[in-house]
Amino acid sequence: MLVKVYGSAVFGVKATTITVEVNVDTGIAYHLVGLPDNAVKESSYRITAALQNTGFKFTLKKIIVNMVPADLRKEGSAYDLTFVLGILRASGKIQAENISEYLIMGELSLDGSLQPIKGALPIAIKAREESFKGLSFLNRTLAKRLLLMAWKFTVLKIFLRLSISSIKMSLLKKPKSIPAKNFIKTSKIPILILPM
Amino acid sequence: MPQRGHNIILVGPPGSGKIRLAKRLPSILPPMTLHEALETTKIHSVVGRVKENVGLMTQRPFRSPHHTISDVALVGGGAYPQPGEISLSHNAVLFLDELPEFKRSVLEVIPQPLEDREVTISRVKFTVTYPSSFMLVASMNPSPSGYFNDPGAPATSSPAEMQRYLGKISGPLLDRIDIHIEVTPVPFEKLSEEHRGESSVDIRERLTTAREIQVERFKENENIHYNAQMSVKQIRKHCELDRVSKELLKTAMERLNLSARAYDRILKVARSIADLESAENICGKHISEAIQYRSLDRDGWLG
Repeated sequence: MLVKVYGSAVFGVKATTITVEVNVDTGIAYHLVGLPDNAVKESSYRITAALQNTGFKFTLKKIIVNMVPADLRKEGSAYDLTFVLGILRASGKIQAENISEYLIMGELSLDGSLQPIKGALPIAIKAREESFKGLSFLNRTLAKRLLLMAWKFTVLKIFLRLSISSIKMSLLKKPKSIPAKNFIKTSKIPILILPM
Repeated sequence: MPQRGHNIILVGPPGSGKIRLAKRLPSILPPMTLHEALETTKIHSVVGRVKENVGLMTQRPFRSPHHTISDVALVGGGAYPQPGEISLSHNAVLFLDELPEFKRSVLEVIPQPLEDREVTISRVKFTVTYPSSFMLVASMNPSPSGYFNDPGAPATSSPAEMQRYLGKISGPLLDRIDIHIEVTPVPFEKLSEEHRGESSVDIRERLTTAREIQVERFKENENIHYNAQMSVKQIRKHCELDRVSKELLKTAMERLNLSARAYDRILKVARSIADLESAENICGKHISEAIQYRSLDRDGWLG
């Protein structure tokens, strides 16, 4: 199955949207193509460990991950979450039909927790320009907890109150929690949609 | 009084309050506009330096790198391109303490971004442009021993030593600094005085008024927000001189041997001084004050 998820690459102070195509086929392999640098390539190790430690299994199939556009240098470790969600979706482990409406970025730890990423603001601005429905920065929130909470995302919420001085951009720390059990049953990703 | 965007150099013996003066600068600058705040936060976000509970930076940063800084750290670059100190101080203050102590190669990279207000870094694999509209504030001692020009201290540096010390700052860099201020040590009577000077809040208010005049002036120009950014064409338009001040400036140019750029800078500074007084036109006293701020250009500064 082919799935497209979206991430972002920051170059200078501008972000460019990166399409991550994930294809799952019969066979056993993992290929990451489309000019990723070393830190991006290392993501496979983090992904397998993080999935295992959060109760998922790495799909034993032929997985091809392609990053488009291929001529742009992609660097850093912030694509872990993009890949993980793409792989889970492509292998049918989760159902998230609307995944391509979001811009997903995040670095995974081996225990599944997420690390803050660099360049959050340019990415958020770009996501707004390209009218993504939301974006999934996880800011130090445990993905483990997220997984238990059935992939609930903390969404970077930008309030652009255009009044004279009170411009505030705040992180929505805790979205209204819905009992985790319900989600584990349906294994559906409830991506929180917030106005951006 | 320094205004937004004019570069300053403070010259004075140790302990005369140069750093103290420079550090107070962000407190008197007008608050950041939404556009400026976004621009500055973007750059800090790219290097991952925005504090977690801070959404948008509303305070103008004050960057003061140590003089051992390398040229790449200052302008940006590296295998994975990162913005340097000049970009991190975008829309804010870059303070270089002990200017002559910086490496020559580091000082040589400053003039171009100062002029263009952005820096383009080109390498084999990439070309990136970072905005770098910063206000340069530098401080230095007038001589290696530090006490030249201080009436109360013995002269311990020879003229040749001092010449060498000042020679470390290249002409092109000095030329781009609009305001040269000589700071003299504060005597005991003044230090212990009970009387308080004008507060930062009051000064900020005056500057904000001047700033508003400038916003009004440049409302049709998208890329220009304050006097220091004016192009030659705009200088002609907004800095018209009467006959007396023209004569004054001519004499100054000839006597002090000033460059064409210094001429432009004097006009810009004079315009800002006039704005502070909410004066419509630049007159003689504004020009003479602006000329006075170019003390390092003057021949025989060494005495």
